[in-house]
This record gives sequence, structure tokens and C-alpha cells, in this order.
Amino acid sequence: MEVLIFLAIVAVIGYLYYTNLPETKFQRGEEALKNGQFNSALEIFHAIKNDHDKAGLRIAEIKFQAAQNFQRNKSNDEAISAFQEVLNVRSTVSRNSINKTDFDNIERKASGEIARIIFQKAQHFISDGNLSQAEITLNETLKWCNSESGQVKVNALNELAKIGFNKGVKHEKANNLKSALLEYKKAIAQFSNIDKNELYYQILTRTEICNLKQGEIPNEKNIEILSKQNFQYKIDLMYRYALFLANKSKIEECENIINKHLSKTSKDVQKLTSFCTEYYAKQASGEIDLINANLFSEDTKAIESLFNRISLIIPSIKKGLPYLVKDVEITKQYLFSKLINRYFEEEEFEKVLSHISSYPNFYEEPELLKNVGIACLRLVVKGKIDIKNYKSVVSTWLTAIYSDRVILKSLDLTTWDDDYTFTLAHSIGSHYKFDNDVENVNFDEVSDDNISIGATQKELVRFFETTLNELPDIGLLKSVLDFYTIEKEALENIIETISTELTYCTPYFAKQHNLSEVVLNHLSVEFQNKQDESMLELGLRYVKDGKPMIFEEYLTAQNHLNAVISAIESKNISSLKAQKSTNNSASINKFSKLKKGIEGRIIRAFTILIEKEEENETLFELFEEAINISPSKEQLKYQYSMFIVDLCVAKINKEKMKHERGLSLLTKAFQFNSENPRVAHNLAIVTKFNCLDMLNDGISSTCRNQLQGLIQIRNGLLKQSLRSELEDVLNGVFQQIRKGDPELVKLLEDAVGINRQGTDNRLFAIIEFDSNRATLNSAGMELAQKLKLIKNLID
Amino acid sequence: MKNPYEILKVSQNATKQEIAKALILAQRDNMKSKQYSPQELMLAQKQLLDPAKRLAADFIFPAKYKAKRATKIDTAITLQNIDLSTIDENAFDSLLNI
Repeated sequence: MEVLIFLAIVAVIGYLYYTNLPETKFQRGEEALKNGQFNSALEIFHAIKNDHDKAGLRIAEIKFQAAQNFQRNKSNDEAISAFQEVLNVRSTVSRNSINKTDFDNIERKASGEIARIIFQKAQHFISDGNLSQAEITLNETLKWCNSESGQVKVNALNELAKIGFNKGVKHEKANNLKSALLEYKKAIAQFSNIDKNELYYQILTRTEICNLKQGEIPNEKNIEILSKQNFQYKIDLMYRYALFLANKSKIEECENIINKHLSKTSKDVQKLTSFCTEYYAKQASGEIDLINANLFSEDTKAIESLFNRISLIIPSIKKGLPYLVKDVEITKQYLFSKLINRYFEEEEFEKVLSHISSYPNFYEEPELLKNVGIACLRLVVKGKIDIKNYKSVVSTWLTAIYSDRVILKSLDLTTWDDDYTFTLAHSIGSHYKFDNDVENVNFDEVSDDNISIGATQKELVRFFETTLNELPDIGLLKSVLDFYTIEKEALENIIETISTELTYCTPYFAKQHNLSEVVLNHLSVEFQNKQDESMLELGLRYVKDGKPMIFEEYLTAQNHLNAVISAIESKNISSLKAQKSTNNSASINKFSKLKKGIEGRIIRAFTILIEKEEENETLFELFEEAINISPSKEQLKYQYSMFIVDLCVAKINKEKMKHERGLSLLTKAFQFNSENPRVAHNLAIVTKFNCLDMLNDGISSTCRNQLQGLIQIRNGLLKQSLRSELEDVLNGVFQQIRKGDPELVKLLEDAVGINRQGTDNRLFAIIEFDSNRATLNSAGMELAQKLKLIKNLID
Repeated sequence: MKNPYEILKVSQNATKQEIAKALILAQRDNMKSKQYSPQELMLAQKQLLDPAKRLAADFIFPAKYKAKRATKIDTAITLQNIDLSTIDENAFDSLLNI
């Protein structure tokens, strides 16, 4: 019984303990929640909010549901309070860290809902026209906005901007521009966190319109942005901006704005356009007044300044008073000529040169080319040619004097020549096509009354050259004369070569005045027609930017050839090897004359080297590499073989080279030039030396192999030479051998394969019978092999 | 090279006869001034009597080029003198439509 009571007490205590466990209570709360008993559930969860992980969250969820119920019933204030209670739950719960994420979610939702409800309130204020209350409410909305209510935030900011815009417009209408600008500024600030939309550009436009109304400088960056947008008020803005620019005398910009954005049908725009036109006209008129005021000045500097100014103002004359451009051009021409005369009078010949050279295509005007030629001549006569100007002076002079038209132009100024006629028959110049309108000029033979233009040209060339030669500075003189010779030669060549009349000029002149392409095109045609590479050679002097392609290719080929020669001259084997490529060969192969000339140039380079270094064996590799590179090789091989022969003969005679080395080199020479008797003869001699060495002292196996190798490469010529050199050697040996033991001699003769004629005891000191007396001993066999080799070389 | 026309004091259009006579006059004048050597006087005449050489001399010492006389440019424009302040800045006032 006692036991039963004890068990009953334990059971009650256990039950009580169980029912008071947080988890048990939580389950009860969950059950109540499931049955819709929110208050009971809330009570239970409150009781265990500090003991159960999920109790706090459930409280928040229940309050959130309650708030939503208020929201559904349009009880917005109660809903806001309830959502705020949701947000308060966390602070009342001490153990909620485990459910932090869940708490965050529900809180975010609650905040978002509060923002949504407040925004709805704001919308009511807006529709009621209560903008100040709306503004307050919208700002309140923004406080509750979070990621759950992104669109609410965008809408609230837009509404705030709209309110700011409307306030700004109100101020603007009341002409309170400063206040308006402040409102617009605030409104624009709303867009710092949201995408810019049409409203933004409208506010920006009103801002710039206000700035313009106030007479302030608008923000050009904004104007630029707005000019690309299509929006309301654009015409107003652009019109005001154009007016602003006109007031600031920025007429070109003003015109641009009118042309791009405004309609010229409007009277006001037309007036503004007229203002611009009139502005240009006034400006042009002012410029012309300045020209008129200084037109007759006799001061050279004033004339120069006016001439330079006219070049600059022609565009503005074209714009302002276009019908006067022709008159201004004539005045410019007058000043141009006046300056030439003035510079001549003042002996400022370098100024004549630069002044005329700056005139577009002056070389097509015989009068100008003549004057610039005279200036160059005078510069030389006055000793004013120097290191800086000599190229321009020389090239311009030559171009002028070789132009027949230039000399004929001299006839224009005098009347003494009226009784004469002039002939271009022997002119040095430029295939002048005879025009009937040139009086007194023909192509007939020279006579007392038919004066040679060529004689005049030659007289002038002679005079120029004589004067050049009187230059006191020797260094300068050399540079000038070298340059003169090259330029003159090239000019004469193109006059000779190109039959179509063009502006014949020197290479330097062509490059200075962009005439190279014309000359090169003509030379290219001549090359195609005649396949004469001298046209390309000539063209290279005129090449400026590597055009046309054929000159580029020719230059590449020539550079390759020059690099080969330079590598030989400097004995730079690696540079020479670097030139051996398929591309380089292909570049040379395109030009037959160049290709043919390679071997000759290489031979000349080696001739010079050999003259200086006749015993230099390092040239062998250089030679062989050059032979590889050269498209034609026979003469080069001959030169190489002769070089080897001479070197070997000289060194062997002076005992500076071993016979074995001589054999090796002369064998090589023979391989390069096997039909040359001198090579064959010397190879035979050195072979003899090596055979004698072999019989007397022995030779290396390499040397013996080389001797053996000769048998394979012998031709008729070498066979004959070897026979005449080696027969005596072999006979001499046998003459000695045949004096020995006849049995031994027979054995030796059989071994060598030779008939018996006599014996020599002395040699038999080294040979004996083998132990069986039927064969030779090893020394005998060795001798027999040597003699057999010699015999094979002879046979 | 000296200017043969200056040495003989003749114009660039001088005839052969004028040049022939000019030598005598130049020699007489030169007696006092000794400006030129007798060889220079002879050479100048020789040069001017040889048409090819004379043409060369004309090239080196050209007669003064007579440029055309320039005339002043008549602008003769009638201006309206438009005053910007008379242009209505509110011609396209957009505020009226807001």
C-alpha cells in the first residue's frame, strides 16, 4: 500500500513536471494556434518566451497575422500598431539568437507593410492637394522602406520629386527663380538612388531655363545631355540658350543650336538667325576695312602681316560677305607678288624661297618657279647657302632650271628678243610639248637667228656650278657638291626616262612637295614596259612612303644584297647566315638584273678581302656561305678554289701548313672547281707529299681515308695529274725493293699487284716472311697496303 | 657675276646698236670712276650681244616685275543692326503649358 502511495505521488510529481516542461507548453501553444485560439497561444508562448527557442518567433508571427487582419479590414492605424508590435517582440525575448534569420524576415515584412500603409496615406494627401502633409508622409514612408518595399521607395521618391517639381514651377511662375532653383535642386536629389526618368530631365530642363532667365551661365554639360533627349520644354531651353550664346558673341555655337533644335519658320528664330548673319557680315566688313587701310603700306613687315592675315580671315569673309571672297583672293595675290618683289629688292632670297614654296603647287606656275630659281641662284651668289638650306636651294634651283617653261618665261619680260626665234631642239629640260600659242619658239636646228634655249640653260648651270665651287667652307662644299651631283643625275635620268610630260623635279624637291608618287607611278609604268631595273633604281631616290609596291620590293631585295656584301666586308659570318632565307632569295629572284649582279658584287667584296688577308683561313666559311646564298655560283666557286690553292701553296711552301691539312683543303677546292688544271695539279702534288709521308713516317687514319677518298672523286684531269706525280714515287719504291730477297719481292709484288722488275735490299729490312714463309709479315703487309693505295690512285 | 645691263648702263630692252654704242660710253665713264675693269666692260657687251647668254643674264637679273595695282575692296553693306534685347526671350515659354 505504502508502495502504491509512493508510486502515485511519484506519478503525480512526474506528470506535473512533464506538463511544466517548455517543450510541452510550446506544443500546447502550437495546438492552440492550430485551433485558431490566438490569445491562448499567445499567452502560452509569452509564458515560455525566454525558455523556448521558437516561442518569441511564434509571438511575432501571431502579431503579424493580427496586423494583416487589421490591414484587410482597412484599419490602417491599428495595422501599423500591430506591425510595430511585431518589431518590438525581439526586444522582449532574451533567447532568440537561434531564430535570428526568421526574426529578420518577419521584421522586414512588418516594416515593408508599414511603409506601404504610410505611402497609401501619402497618396491620399497628394490627391487631396495637401502637398506639405504628403511630403512629410512620404519622408516617413522612406524611413520604413527596406528591400521588401523597393518599389514603394521608388514611388515615394518619385512623388517627392514631383512635389518638388510642382513647388519649383509655382515659384518659377511667381518669378521667384532662386526658390524655384532650390526646389528643383531638392527634386533632382531624389534621383540619386533611383533611375533617371522623364521627370528628371524635365526638372533638369527647368533648372537650366531658370539659370538662363537669371542671366546665369547654364551648365554646358547639362545642355549637352538635354540636347540628346526628347522631352517637353526642349525648344524653350534651346531657344533661350541660343539667345544666351548670341549675347555672349558665341555666334557659331548659337547657329549650331538653331540649326539642330529650332524651327526657322518662327519669326523670333528668324530674327536671331539674321542677327548671326549680320554679325558675320560686320566681322567680315571689319576685316576688309583693315585690309583696305593697310593695302598700300610700303613697310615689308606690314605687308607680310596683312598677307598672313588674309589667309586666316578668308573663311570668315566666306561666311560674312561671300560675294567679296574673289576680291579678297585677288588682293591676296597682289600682296603675294608684292612680297616677292619686296624680298628681291631687299635681297631676302631665303624669304623668297620659303614664301613661294608655301604657295600651293607653285611648281606648276613657270613664273613662280622661275622666281624661286632666281632666288636660289642669288642665295648662292651671295654666299648665303648653308648647312640648313642647301638641300632646298640646290633641289629647287635644279628643278627650275631643267624646266623649259621657266626659261621661256624669261622671254616674256623683254622686247629685245622680238627679232629672234628660240629653239628647244637641244634643251636640257623637260620634253616640252610645243604649244602654238608660244610665240617665237620652235624645235628647229640652232642658227644665228634661232637661238638655243639649251645653250642658255647650260650657261646658267655652268654659272651655278662655278659659283658653288667658290664656297669657302670645304666641309659644306663637299656636302653641297655630293648632294648636287645626286640630285642632278636623278633629274636628268627621269627627264631621259619618262616620256610623258610631268613636273620633272629632283628627288628632294619631289619629297618636299609631294610629287614623289607621280614620278614613281611613271617609273613603275616604264619598268613594266621595258623590264629595265634601272627605272626602279632611279625610283628609289624618289621613294618617300614606300609607294608603289614594286619599289618597296626592289628596295627589300637591294637591302638584302647590301646586307650580304656588308657581312662579307666585315667578315661577319652570323650576319651572312642570317641573310640566307627563302624570303630573301625570293625577293632577289624577282629582279633579274639585280640577281645577275649578286655574284659579281660578292666576288668584288672577296677580292678586296683576299688582297688584304691572303692567308686567312677564316674566309673559307664566309666563302662557302656566300656560295650558298649567291643565285649564280660558278665564278665564285672558281674564286674560292683559287684562293684555297694560293693559300695552300704559300703556306706549305713556308711550312706553315701540314701536308695533311693541305690535302684536305685542296680536295675541297677540287670539289668546288674540278675542271681546273691548276687545282688538280696542286692537289696531285699535295697527294704526293702525303704519300711520301705515309711511306716514311706514317700518316693518320683520317689522312689515309682522304687519300682513299680521292679515288672516288677523281676525274680524268685529276687522274692524269696524280699519275704524273705518283708514278715516280711508286717506281722509286720498287726500284729499291727489287734488290732484296726475290721470294719476298714476289710476295710483295703480288700483294700490291705489280710486276717484278728489280729489288732493293734496304726496304726489305722491314719486311720478312711470315713463320710459314708463304706470306709477308705484318710490316710487309702494311707496306704492301700503302703501295697498293698509291697504285690505286694512279690507276 | 655682275649685271651686264648695269655695267653698260642700258635697259633690258636695249637693241644691239644701243649695246654697241653703250660700250663706248661706258668705257668713257669708267675712265673716271674706274668702277669696272676693261675686261668686265668687254665681257658685259659680249654677253649681251650673244642672245643665248643675254637670255641667261635676263634670267639671273630679271627686269622688275610690274605687279598689278591693287584696288580697295568696296564692302557696301546695309545692316539692320538687330538689337538682341528686342528679341522676345519668352517666345517659346514652356511655363505657360504647365
